[in-house]
Amino acid sequence: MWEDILYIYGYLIFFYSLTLILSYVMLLILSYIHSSKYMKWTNDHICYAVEGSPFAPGVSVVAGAYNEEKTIVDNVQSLLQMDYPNFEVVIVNDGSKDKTLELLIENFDLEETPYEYVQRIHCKPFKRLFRSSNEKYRQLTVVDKVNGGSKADAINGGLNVVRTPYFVNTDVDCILARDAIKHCIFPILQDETIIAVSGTMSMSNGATTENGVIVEISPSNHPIPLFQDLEYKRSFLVGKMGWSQINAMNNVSGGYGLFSTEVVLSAGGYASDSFAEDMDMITRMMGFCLEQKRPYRVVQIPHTCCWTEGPDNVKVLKRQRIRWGRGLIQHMWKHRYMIFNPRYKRLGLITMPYTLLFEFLAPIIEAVGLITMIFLVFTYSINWKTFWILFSAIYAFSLTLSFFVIFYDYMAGGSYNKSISYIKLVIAAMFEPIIYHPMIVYFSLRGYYNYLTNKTASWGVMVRKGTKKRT
Amino acid sequence: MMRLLPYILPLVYTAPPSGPGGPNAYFYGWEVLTYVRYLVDAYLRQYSWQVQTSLVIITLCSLMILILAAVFTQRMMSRNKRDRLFELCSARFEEPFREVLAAKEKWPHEEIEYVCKVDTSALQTFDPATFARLIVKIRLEHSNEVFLPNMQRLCNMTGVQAFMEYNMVKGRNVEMTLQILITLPIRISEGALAAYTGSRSRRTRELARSYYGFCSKTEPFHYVMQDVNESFQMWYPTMLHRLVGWHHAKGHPVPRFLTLAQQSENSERKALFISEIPYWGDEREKRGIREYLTSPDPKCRSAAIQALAIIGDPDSEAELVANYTFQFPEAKRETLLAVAKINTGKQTEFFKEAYLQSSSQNTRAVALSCLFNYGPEGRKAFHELAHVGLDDSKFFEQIESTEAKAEGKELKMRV
Repeated sequence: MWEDILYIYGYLIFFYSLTLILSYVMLLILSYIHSSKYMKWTNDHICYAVEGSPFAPGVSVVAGAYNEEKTIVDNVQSLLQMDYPNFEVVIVNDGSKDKTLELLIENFDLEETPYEYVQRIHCKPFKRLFRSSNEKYRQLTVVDKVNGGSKADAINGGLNVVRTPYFVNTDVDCILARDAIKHCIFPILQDETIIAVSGTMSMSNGATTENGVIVEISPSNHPIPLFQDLEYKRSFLVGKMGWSQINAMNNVSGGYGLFSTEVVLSAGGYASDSFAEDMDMITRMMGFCLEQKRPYRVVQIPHTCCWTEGPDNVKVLKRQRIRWGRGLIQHMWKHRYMIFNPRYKRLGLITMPYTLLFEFLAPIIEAVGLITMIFLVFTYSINWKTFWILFSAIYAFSLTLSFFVIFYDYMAGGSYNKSISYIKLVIAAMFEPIIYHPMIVYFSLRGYYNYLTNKTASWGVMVRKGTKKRT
Repeated sequence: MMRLLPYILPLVYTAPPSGPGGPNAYFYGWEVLTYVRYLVDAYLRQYSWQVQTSLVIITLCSLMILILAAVFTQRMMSRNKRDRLFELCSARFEEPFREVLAAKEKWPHEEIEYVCKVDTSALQTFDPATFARLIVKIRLEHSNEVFLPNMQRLCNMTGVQAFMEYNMVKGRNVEMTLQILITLPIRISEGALAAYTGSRSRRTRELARSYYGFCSKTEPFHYVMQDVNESFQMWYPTMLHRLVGWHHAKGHPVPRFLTLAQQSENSERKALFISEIPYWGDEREKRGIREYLTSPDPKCRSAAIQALAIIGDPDSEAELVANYTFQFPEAKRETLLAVAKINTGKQTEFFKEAYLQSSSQNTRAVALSCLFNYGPEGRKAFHELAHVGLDDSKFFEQIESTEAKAEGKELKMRV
């Protein structure tokens, strides 16, 4: 009986793995098609099409700040240096307990401005609004509000004062490329049905900055951010890019994404209680468009728009990934009515089922696989030769996928200038499946467990080290 | 190929040999492949199909990694080579080219040669693709200027123009070439472009038609006229604006946009043509905009109000004010801003009434903002209204503070 169960289980897992591999192959092909199409636009043409145009749509860069005293001034300086003809920066001080607001007031000559605040979407109470008396920082608005305990609440606070048709949702610790808005608005100029554009993100842990602008970038020397860099590239350049080709993207990262203000507001804004507020928002936006029978597209571009500081130790990484795991299960449960629901077209028939089978279930299946293997070892039922062949196949595929990602990154303009940087990524790709991936699986499972047992969750504090400064 | 088929087919479909006939077996031609296939089959047959699939995956992945490594190295080397070439070219020519392109008048060949410290024949020995990259880089520094007088001549002397024509004729990197041509913009032979204005690829066709306006000497606005009833994407207004500006700067005649607006049946196009009139239209066309203030199409009304604001003609003020009551809310706000921009100083009462009569908070905010900035009279009326007792006290404070400190940023920012 046990043998029969194990036999059927083995077959199922093998089919699951093969389907996963095939889905990645399909994504590689789709992402190649999508990025080749985009890369036919030259960087110069994109800049020229938007630069100095009296018709460029207004864009607000909205970023929440909570206890960011260490990096806030540099980061706001960086945001203000965006190269776009019609933009503003809205920083939401989400009830910081440190000197974040004081530093902003002091460094950017902010003055409290009376403001008729109209709450268009729910968030914790608004306190004050600041604008700069200095012409140099004319594009800066700072909203001070009561802490809402989540990024979603802070962004909602910012959205209540935004008046532009598009906004960028980013984190204040992110360093944006100067031409990031231009690159993200360009697809919208071609197709007005686009409701969100996701820009590629990279790790800033190995970056050197000058006046808030990245002047030199190389992968971090620490293994954790290096693995994350590879993971981000895989997610953006293969996963999202591939899904973008068939308009079935399941997420626009909370780190950097450009959204239609009207659709976000119509869909009810960000959910403050969500631990995956970015994924939840884009799902609701797409759901809203489908319910209204309104054409929409969500697009990923290969251009690196944003650099973010990733956790550089296991402790912080664990907290982040447990939160993500928790967010994923919460998201799947909240939107379960969409899964296999033909009313939601691609979202219901492709995006959500894929997320359920290959993102949500993957850590569970991997963990069950590991337990089964241990059981087989202890019962002397394992065929080691077969085991090593199967293991090598999965490892070889993972390595090939990473190599493709590194190649795509280079072809898309390259995150790094030096060849040595890519060698580092290749080395990381070799160790990632055996060191980093098992950790991520464990943290995801902890996230699921915490959600199911209603364990109190917190966003926690990530101590920012900032980037190296060029003097 | 067909002649070879009788030889190939039997080999492909021949059953694998039962085995080598001893240590001295020899294989020739296709037999080698057949034997290798036999060996692979014999090796795989001992495993289950799961293991067979895994072995195939391992082999394919290993091959793929090797191919990727080779292609990656080759691409890296060629990019490094291109970058080195560009650096060399920049070091020598960036400053002279910048000087040439920044000039406000057309220079003769000799002067350009003198500034570049090299004669034309020597210039043409350099790589034109690298020159194109350098010239585009400098052009982007002047992106607010539609026409650079020496662009055509410099591209001609450096061989960039011939290189672009060659690419177009040979069909090499057509989309990229068209993008460069639009960015510069320079004229190439119309014949080289002809094949692409009707291309099946939508992107190529749109780029080619955009560029046609710069390239054609006979009828540059052919596609503007032809597509008069077509809808368009958001990039089109910028491109049209640049195209007309370029011809205007060169002293060429530009289309009558009022006529085009009357001719078009597409409301978006109509609105676009109306919004171009303030920049390029003559007095008669500018006066003609007023008839659209009562257009049944809201887009045309908005475009007309905004166009009148740009023109700033005091004569149009009375018509704007007279039609205010009949406008929809968005157009009402645009009318208020237009009247404020024309700024004859006679409309304080109009703003006051607009504030008192409006049921929309947004419209009231715009009316107050306009009043605040409408000279001493307006400022006085603003403070009087503050005591009227409407439930807008925060608004008054906000406008007073915002307008004084940040110049009404959120109201003036285009939304």
